[in-house]
Amino acid sequence: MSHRTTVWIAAPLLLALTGCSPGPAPLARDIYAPLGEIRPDATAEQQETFKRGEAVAKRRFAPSEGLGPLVNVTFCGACHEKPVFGGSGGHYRDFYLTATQLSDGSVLPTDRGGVLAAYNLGDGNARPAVEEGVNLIAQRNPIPFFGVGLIAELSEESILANVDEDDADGDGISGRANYDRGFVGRFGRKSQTVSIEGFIRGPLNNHLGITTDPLTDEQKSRLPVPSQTIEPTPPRSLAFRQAAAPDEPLTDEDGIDDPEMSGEDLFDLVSWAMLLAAPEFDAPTPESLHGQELFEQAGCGGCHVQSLEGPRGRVPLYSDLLLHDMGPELADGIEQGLAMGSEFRTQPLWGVVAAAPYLHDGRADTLDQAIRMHGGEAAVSAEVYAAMTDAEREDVLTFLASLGGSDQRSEGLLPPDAPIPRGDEPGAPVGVGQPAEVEQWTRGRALFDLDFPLDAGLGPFFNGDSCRACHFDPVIGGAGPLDVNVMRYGSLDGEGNFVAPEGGTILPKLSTPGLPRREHNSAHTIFEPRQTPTVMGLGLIDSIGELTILAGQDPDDADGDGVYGIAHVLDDGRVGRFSWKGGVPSVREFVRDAMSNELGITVPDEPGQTFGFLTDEDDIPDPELSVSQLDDLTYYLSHLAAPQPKRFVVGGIETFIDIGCATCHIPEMNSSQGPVPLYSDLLLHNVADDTYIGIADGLATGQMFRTPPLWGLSDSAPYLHDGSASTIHAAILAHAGEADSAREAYFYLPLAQQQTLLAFLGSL
Amino acid sequence: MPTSFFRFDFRSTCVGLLTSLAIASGCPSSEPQPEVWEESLRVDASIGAFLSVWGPAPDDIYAVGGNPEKGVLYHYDGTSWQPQEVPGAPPLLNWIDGSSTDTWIVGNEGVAMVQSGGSWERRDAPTSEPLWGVWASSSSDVWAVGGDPLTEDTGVIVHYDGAAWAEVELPELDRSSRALFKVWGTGPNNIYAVGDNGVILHSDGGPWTQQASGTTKDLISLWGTGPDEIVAVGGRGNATIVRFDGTAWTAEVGTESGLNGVWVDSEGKAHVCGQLGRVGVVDRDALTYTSETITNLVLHGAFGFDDGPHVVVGGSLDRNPPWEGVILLRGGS
Repeated sequence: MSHRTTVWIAAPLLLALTGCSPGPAPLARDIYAPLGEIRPDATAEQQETFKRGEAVAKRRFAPSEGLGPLVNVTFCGACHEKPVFGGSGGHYRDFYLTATQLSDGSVLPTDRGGVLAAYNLGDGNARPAVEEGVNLIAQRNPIPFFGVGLIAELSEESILANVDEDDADGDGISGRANYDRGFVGRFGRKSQTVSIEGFIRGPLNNHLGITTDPLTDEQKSRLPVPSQTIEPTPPRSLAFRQAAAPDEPLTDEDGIDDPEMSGEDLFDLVSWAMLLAAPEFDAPTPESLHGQELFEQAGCGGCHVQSLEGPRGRVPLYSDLLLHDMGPELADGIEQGLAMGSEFRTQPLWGVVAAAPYLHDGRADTLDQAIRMHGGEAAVSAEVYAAMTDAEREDVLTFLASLGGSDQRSEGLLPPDAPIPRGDEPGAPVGVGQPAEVEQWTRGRALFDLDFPLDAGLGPFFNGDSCRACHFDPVIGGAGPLDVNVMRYGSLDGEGNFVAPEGGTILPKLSTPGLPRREHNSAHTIFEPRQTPTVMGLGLIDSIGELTILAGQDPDDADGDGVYGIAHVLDDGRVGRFSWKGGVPSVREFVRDAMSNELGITVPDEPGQTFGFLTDEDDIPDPELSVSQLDDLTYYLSHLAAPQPKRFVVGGIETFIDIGCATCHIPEMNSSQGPVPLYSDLLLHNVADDTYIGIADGLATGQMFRTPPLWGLSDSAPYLHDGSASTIHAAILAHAGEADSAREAYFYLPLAQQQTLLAFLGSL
Repeated sequence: MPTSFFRFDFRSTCVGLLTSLAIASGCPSSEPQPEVWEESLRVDASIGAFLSVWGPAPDDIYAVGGNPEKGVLYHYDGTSWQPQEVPGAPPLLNWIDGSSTDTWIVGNEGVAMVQSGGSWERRDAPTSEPLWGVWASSSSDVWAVGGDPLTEDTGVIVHYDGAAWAEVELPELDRSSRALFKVWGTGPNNIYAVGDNGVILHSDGGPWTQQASGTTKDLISLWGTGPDEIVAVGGRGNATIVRFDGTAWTAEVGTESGLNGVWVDSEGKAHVCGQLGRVGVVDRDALTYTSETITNLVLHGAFGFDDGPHVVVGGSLDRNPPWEGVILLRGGS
């Protein structure tokens, strides 16, 4: 046990020791560590399992491995990353639950536990629609996993001891248990899940489309939390409640053999979750102790009970794990197990300061907001809190912040003391030397990483709550996996021409809590996901002169090589260079465009700048981004170093040129800062199959795409505009149109030369 | 392979302990020993699980089940269970019922068979869907229901008029429903079917109509003693009991694990069984039951005679092999 936690729990221990009657059991020892770390009491073998399990949690699944067909995310860590893996997720990882309330009042969840997927990797990439008849749509924010193994160990009696279903003590707080398969529930927003295995297998299936078989009894017997289904010797009764994971193998229809995750990977993943330590509390201060006193006086401890008794002693999770009626203020109508629409599990408070946003749908960005939004059984406590003095409320918040994770808390995902990458490290600055420049670059990076809160103007419709939300592979500023694809959509008129929806072709993934997601309708038959490319090196691309870009055009294929190429010249004469359709002319316009379209953040009116929304429909005064913030973001992106070559591959560039790749992916373009090795001509080419119907944008027809730069290719999978290619090989073979001859040349290359070319591309 | 009888009961263990204590304390016990559940048959993966049990007499009981590839039929003569020949190597057999003069069995892939004399004849229904339940009021009025809950298809109702099966149109439902799991009635003009998402259908001899069930939990099985005393059970994660009193259905979702089987004795007591090897008797007013765990396997079907024996059957087909099956008996000897 750490010194900090020892000090923190000393007071209750002393009280217990000085009492005459047998006091409560002592607090559990050796279970505390910084967020995301393994329990200190783990064995060497468990430490190895923990590492393997964490790797599974971080593993990006590809469709060829069973991802999908219906998907919200591509890896477990996507939703459990804040402030570290095992935690919660920002607004951009919110998801929707849907159900239908029938005329007799009963509530029927839609398939997959009611989870509404954001992506369908089949079916023409069409956005999965809300099922007909659905009249309940609720949002959920991911839940942290810290200490869940300790919660799993708790006896049912320890949870049931706080049940007061009929409020027999008259304190206005009831509390009842949820049940699943005859056992007391303890996980999930409604305590609807009993076991960690179930808590993992369900989301794997519902959010990733990854199927699993249940762990075998032998595997369960090896888990860190005793989980055997059946006692090994007669009378062979059903054993520990952790056995109550769903028994059924899960299947789907994506053509990949089920189960799509191996039993050993699932075992490691479940073990990893079970071994995550309890948050390590800060040493108490006069302020936090006073805050704790106020917390109890306000009645918060009626539900957020300090501890529950487990086999290692009392576990200080600050939750009774019971269902409480939170009133119409928080009700969402979703029923799970015995939980009704207004009932929610008391959320554990350990580590809470580092796991914003709060409440089941993430409607509160701060703890202060969250407390004030409590209703139903907690309405009185919320009123008491609201009536406190500013100093008293500050002490309550100090107390809550002391429950672990305060020194890991981040406004985004970068750790509080994140170093500036140096030299060739990805994410490093370039051309930044003076202290003021470093300061501005650092401010820009922090803004890029910042999870924009609701009261800063996020939304009302958005794809990400930060720039980093999409650009994080392999580091902040990088590319994004399939689960942050931006959906474009539209329809065709009677003559087959693309028609953009009113309001633009972006179909936002999310809406702010309480607001319905923007939906498409049956007329919208064209869907095109757009993969997130890296933004490293944008400044260098910005330094390429317009004339240089224009010089590469060959609109009539004058040289007869089958490759055309036109610049995306805007109506005002500027030459576009960024985005999949090449329609964005500068870094600043890129920032304005992304902040508006992806985050719902309005931008200031600036002379000569035409991208971005100046107003939106939320209640936050516009512009929601200041000029100085725009300056900082633009500076950061303009001075984010381009990906650096990893190695030299003999014969690579020669093959690349020989088979015609370099005709569009030209290795260098001249700029005011010298040659820029981006492997692109920044022109539009028709590289789609004849049958492909895509989204038209300005001069770019549905089949035209800007030649994407290839630097950093190996770190920016998946590939192509829609992320449909998991490998570079697959991406090359998917080229068509003007790239037909290059693709064929690649296809007929001797295998060794293909490998050389792939190695070369992977080295860029 | 069948295994020998294996006594399996916690209560007997507790009672035994109490009895030992009583003897140790010098107090003679005159309390009668409660009837206990005894494992009558346990089979391994070569057989599979048992899903349904029914019989005309305590020494003439049938159990059906098997595994996805092979259906099995066992017969109990009052002493032991013996496998019976079934025609045409059927797949998994899901239900057996002899409410009318005939005894019917249904199973996967539309399999249906009727007992004729001492042997069984195949009378397969015109569907490839699994049939989960069958009930007949006469030889010319046989109803079977089914459907695959893992597909997007709807449930299936088929009717046999003594000569041929015909698929019957389902009514428009207020919810999605992909399978009907059981059918039961009090006569040709009063038949009920239950299914996933809490669907209850009724036929008065004419077209089927939906009735309000008050729940969206899956309903797996139903039984009754008459038009005003019918109990349906289900629930998967939470035991769900739905009772019809002749006027309306009342639903109760409980804390116990889900229920699969129900049999109602002549006094109207509903004997239920379900997941986690649990059995119990329903409190008719509260629609709750106190459970007793009698096996480590999930139980699928219940049946009995007022004077015994009571029979429950079960086993795991959810998981990949190895599967196991079990039949337990209480009383009647």
